[in-house]
Amino acid sequence: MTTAQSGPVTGPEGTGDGPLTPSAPVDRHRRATWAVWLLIFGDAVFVVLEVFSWLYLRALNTHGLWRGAACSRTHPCVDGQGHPILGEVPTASPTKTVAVALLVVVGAALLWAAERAAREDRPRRAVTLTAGLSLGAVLLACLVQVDQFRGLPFTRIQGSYASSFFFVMASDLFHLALAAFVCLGVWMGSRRGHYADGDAGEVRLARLAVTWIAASVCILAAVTIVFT
Amino acid sequence: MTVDAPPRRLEDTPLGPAAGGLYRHQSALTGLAAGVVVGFLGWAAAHELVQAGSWGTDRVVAVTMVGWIVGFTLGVGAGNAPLQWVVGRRPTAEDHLYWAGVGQGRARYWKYCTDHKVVGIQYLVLTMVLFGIGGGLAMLIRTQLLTPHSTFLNPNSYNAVVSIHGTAMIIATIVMVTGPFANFVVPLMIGARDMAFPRLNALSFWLLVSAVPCLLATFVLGGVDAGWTTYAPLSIQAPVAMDAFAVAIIAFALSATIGGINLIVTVLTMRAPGMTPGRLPIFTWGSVVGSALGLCAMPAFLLVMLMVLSDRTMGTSLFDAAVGGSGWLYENLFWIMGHPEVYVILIPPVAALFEVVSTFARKPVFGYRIVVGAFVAIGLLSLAVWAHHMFTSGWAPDLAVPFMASTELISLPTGLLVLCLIGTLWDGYLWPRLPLYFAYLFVWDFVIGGVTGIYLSDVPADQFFHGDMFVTAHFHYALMGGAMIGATAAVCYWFPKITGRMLDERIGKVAFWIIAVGIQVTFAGQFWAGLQGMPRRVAWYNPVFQHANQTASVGAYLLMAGWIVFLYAMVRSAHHGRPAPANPWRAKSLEWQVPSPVPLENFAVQPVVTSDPYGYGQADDAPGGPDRTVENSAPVGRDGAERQGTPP
Repeated sequence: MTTAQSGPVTGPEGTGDGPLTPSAPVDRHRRATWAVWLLIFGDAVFVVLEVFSWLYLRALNTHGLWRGAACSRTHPCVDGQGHPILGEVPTASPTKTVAVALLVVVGAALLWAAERAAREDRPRRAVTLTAGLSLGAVLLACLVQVDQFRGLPFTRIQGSYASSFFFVMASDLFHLALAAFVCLGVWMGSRRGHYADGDAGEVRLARLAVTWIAASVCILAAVTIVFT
Repeated sequence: MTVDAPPRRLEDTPLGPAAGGLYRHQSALTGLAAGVVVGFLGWAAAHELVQAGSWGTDRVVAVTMVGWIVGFTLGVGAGNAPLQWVVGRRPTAEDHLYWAGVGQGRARYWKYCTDHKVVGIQYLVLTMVLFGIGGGLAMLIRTQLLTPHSTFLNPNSYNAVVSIHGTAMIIATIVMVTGPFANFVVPLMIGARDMAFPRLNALSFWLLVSAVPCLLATFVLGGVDAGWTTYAPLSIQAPVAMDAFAVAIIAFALSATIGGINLIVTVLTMRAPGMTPGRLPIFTWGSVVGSALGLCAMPAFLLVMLMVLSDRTMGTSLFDAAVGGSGWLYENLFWIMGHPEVYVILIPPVAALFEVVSTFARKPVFGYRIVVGAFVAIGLLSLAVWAHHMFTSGWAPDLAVPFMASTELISLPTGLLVLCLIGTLWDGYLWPRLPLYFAYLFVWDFVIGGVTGIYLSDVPADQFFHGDMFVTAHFHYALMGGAMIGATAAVCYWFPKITGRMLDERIGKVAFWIIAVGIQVTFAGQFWAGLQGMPRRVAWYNPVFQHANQTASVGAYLLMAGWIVFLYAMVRSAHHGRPAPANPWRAKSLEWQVPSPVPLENFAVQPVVTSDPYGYGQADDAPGGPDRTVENSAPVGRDGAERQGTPP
C-alpha cells in the first residue's frame, strides 16, 4: 500500500481522533450517530424476537395454556407452582399499557423540542425546560409501568400469556429506565450550558435513542393488546 | 513508503496530578474489590428480601452475579464517564490522555485503558486464558473417555465439564480474532489513530473479564449439566449454577455487541483519505462482516438468556412445556443466534489468512471482490439456516427441505473462499514462514470440517448422524482445525507488530507439527467413533467404541502439548525474542508502515492512501528478491535493524 504524508493533523480543529488530536465536533457527532443507529438496529432485533416469541407461544398454545381457555373447575390446569387454574386467564387492561406508550411518546416529542431549541440557539432555559419535561414524562411512564405490574389480574406464572406479558413489560421498563438516564443527562447538560451556540448534536443523539425507545414501547404495546 | 512516527513515547509522559480524576485510583484490583463487595451486598440483600418462594435460591445467585458484574465494571472505571455525563460534566483533554495510558507504563494493561493497542493485547491475554480453561476441561473430558466406564468424573461432573468447555471455547473463539487483532490492527490498517469510541472499547473488554468468574463459579454452584446449548427444559431444571451461567452469557453478549458496533463505526467513519472500500484490506472487511453478523446474532443470545433467567427466578413459563411454554421456542431463539455465530467465529480468521497468504505468496489476493462478496453472502445466508440444528427435534418438518437448501447454498460462498485462498497461493512466490504453515493447515482442516458439514446439512444423513460423535468431529475440525488455526496464523503474522519482537520460528515450527498431527489424530478418532454410532455427551460408553476414543484422547494430549509449546514460544519471544523491524514481512498494508511497538497515536502524520494493500509483484517482490533473502540469510540484524538495500 502506498501512502503519502499529508502533514500533521494536530490543531484546534484537528481531523485526528486520538487523545492528543481530538476530532472536530461534527466528526464526533457523525460517528456517534452511526453508533446510535447500530444500537437501535441491535435493539430492534431484540424487540422483533420478543414479538416472535409472543406470537409463537400464542400460536402454539401448548396444552391450551396460552391463556388457559380450556381450563375449568372440572378440568383444572396448573400454574408454575402446581396451583390450579380454574378458568381462562383474564387479559391485562390496555389502559395502562396505552398510558405508558403515550407518556414515552410525549417524552420523545419533548426531547425533539429540546433539540430544536438547542439547534436554534434559543435561551438555555428553553432547552432545560423541555428536556426536564421530557425526563418527567419518561419517569411518569416508569411509575405507571410499575403500577401496572402491581395491579395485573393474573400472576406471571399462570400460563404463557401471563409470562410473556410480564417479560415484555419488564423489557419495556428497562427501556424506559434507559430513556430516563438519557433524558437526565440532557437535562443536566443543558443546565450546565453545554448546548449553547447551536450545538445540538448531543441532544439530537438523545432524541434519536428516545424516539426508538418510544417506537419499541408502542410496538410491544400494540402486540400485547391486539394478540391476546 | 514508511510513515515516520515521533521519536518520543507519549505513553511515558507524566501528566498533572488531576488528570484522569477518580480513574487514577482505579484498576483491575479496585474492580475486583468492588465486584466482591457489591456482589456480597447483592447476596445479602437478595437473601433477606427475595429468598422466599420456589425460586429464592435462583434469585439470590442471579442478584449476586449481577452485583459482581456491576461492581467490577464500576470499580475498574467503566462507570466514570457515563456518570460524569449524566450530571453534566465533561472530561478534560488531560483526562483523555490519562485514560489512553499516558504516563502509566505497564500498569495501563491492568486499567480501563482506552488505547486500542492496549485493549488488543488485553484481549489476546484474556483469549488465551479462556483457551486455557476450555483446553484444560477438554483434557478432563478426554481422560474420562479413555475407558468405557471411567470413574475419573461422575456423569454430572462430566456434563458440567462438557458445558463449560463448550461455552468457554465458543466465547474464546468468538473474540479470538475480533478482540485482539481487530482492535490492535484494524485502526492501523485503515489509517486511524484509535477506535471510534475508545471508552466503549475498554468497556467491551472489561465486561468480558467480569463474565469469566461467573462462568467458573458454575462449578462450585452445582455445575451446568445441560450442555453448552443449555436447551430448555434442561436449563430450567439445572442447578443454580445455570443462573450464574446465564448472567455470564448476558455480560458476554453485551460486550460483543458493544465491541462490534465500535468496530463497524471505526471502519465506516475513520478511514484515512484514499482508503476507499475497494482498498480496504480483506481483514478489515472480514472483521466488519463478522461484527455485523454478531450484531444480528447477539441480541438473540441476550434475549434467550434473559428468558431463561425469567423462568428460573420469576417462575414464568416461557420454555417449560408443562406449564404452557415451549422448548422449541428456546431452540429457535438459540440457533437464530447460534448459526450466525459460527460465521462470526469463522469469517475474521479466514480474512486474516488472506493477509497472511497474500504476504507470504507475494501475490495480490486472488478474487478480492469475490472474497468480499462471499463474506457478505455468507453473512446473509447464515441468518436463514438456523433450523438445520433442529432437523431431529420434530419442529416444522415442512421447513426441513428449505433449511437444507439454504444450508447447502452457504457452502458455495464458503467454498469460494477456500478456492480464492488456494488461488492466492497458486503460482505464488511462496515464503515458507510459520504463518504460512498455519495457513496450509487451515486449508486442510477446514476442507474436512466443511465437507462433513455438507453431509450434516442433508436431512436424511442428519437423522442418522445427529447426536453422535461425527457431529462433534465435524465442528471441531471447522472451529478448531479451521478458525483457531487461522487465528494462530494471525498471531504469528502480527506478533512482531504487537510485541516489537520476532516470534521464535524454530520452537513455533515444533509446535506447529505437534498441533497439526494432534488435530488429525484427535478428530479422526472422533469421526471413527461417530461412524461406529457412538452418541456424544455421554460419560460412559459401550466398549466397542474404546479404540476410537483412545485414539482421540491420545491425539488430544498431543494437541495440548503442541499448544503449550506454542505458548512457550510466544512468552519466550515476547521477552527475549529478536527485536522486530517495523516491517519484517515487507507487507504492503498500512499497519506495517509504522514502527514496532506502535506509538500512542499510531501515525505522526495523516497517511493518504494511494494504492491497494496487495501491490505485490513489483520488482522488489521478484523471485530471489528480498523476502527469500530474509528467510535464508537473517535479514534482521542482531540489533533488530532491518537490512537495507537488499537487491531484488
